[in-house]
Amino acid sequence: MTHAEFASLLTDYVDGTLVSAEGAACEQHAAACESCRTMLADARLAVEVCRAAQDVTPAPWLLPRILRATAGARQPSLAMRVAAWSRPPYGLRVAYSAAMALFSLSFVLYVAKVNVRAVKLSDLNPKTWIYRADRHGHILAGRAQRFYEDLRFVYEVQSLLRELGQGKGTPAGGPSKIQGERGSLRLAPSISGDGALADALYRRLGIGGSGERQGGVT
Amino acid sequence: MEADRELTARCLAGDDEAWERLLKTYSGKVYNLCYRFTGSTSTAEELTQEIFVKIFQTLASFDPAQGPFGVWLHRVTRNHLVDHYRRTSRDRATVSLDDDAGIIHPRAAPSAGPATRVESRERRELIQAALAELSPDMREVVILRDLQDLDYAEIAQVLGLPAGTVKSRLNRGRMELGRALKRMLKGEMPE
Ligand SMILES: [Zn+2]
Repeated sequence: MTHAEFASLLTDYVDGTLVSAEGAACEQHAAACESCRTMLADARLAVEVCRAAQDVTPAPWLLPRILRATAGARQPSLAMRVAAWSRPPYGLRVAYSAAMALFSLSFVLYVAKVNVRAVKLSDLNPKTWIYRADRHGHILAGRAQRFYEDLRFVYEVQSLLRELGQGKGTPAGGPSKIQGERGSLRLAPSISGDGALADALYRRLGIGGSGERQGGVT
Repeated sequence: MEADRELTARCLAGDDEAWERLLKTYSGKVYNLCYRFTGSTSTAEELTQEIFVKIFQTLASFDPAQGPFGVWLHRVTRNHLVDHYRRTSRDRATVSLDDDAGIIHPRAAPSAGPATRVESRERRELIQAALAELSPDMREVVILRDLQDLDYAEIAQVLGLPAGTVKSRLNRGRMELGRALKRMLKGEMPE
């Protein structure tokens, strides 16, 4: 083995990742060559000192400070305010449904040409929306349906939680799995589980037993 | 990692709890990296906060298909540190031109008696002083490999360098660091 060969293998030799034959060759060379032995000793000292170095611990105030500067600076959205009083896993779903309901509503109002500053009674009738949405009719129908479903889901959970009062046992079931792909607009508010809250919710929604709710709204 | 993927997705959906967990998991790593690069705990704190504000704002640009979150985080951190050096070295350039435009040199250890110094602190300052003697190229590779425990492939991704370059820089970096440490240990303990 030449000095150059030894030098090129030194990193792996120190890390102990060489195959045994190469490792043995390095060992032999180092035993016979003083300059390479010194190189090896230096590299080993560096690695040893680094590995022995303990992680520095940040001051306890750093994390809260970062939280304040990031999430704390964010204006709580309507969805997050709803989530704040209902706990996960329902909280998240309610939040998403609320956000989606708002999104749907804004779209519906836009397509149905509703003047938000002067809402007339007829503006609130879905038939009027369909009638007005000459070009975007098919999109509107889907959006309006989702809006209704999401809003109803939010309303049902909200009123139910109010009835049950807060802190009357956390519903069973693991953390919520967010359904839908990354970046998709629609997140289905499907619920499953066996907690008391879930059961009561099923009863309220008129779905017997536990199972998946598939947005079945009249 | 699947867990990171889910966690970042939840952060993007506005889940503050997920963000807090992400912070708890990674703030130590980022802080350590900042400390190793700057040698100052207060600068490391400031930089860590700046970096997480940046991550909070740009998390949507993290693509799990391109590699693990940890690697992306290290890249963002490293780039921020490089920007920081440019900024501070420009400031310092007006004072002294012979700075190597890299690390902020750690403050000299107070010359109190050895008995009053805490051992771990002493060792910490020793490493920082030795690291300061390396060129910035070698220093960052040694920090990422031997202090942050990244593998060659991850370091190559963080730095945008071929793995071979990473390895040869690490090789030279380790030898120089070892030499610097040896010199300092001899100087500190005259027999
Ligand atoms: Zn040799």
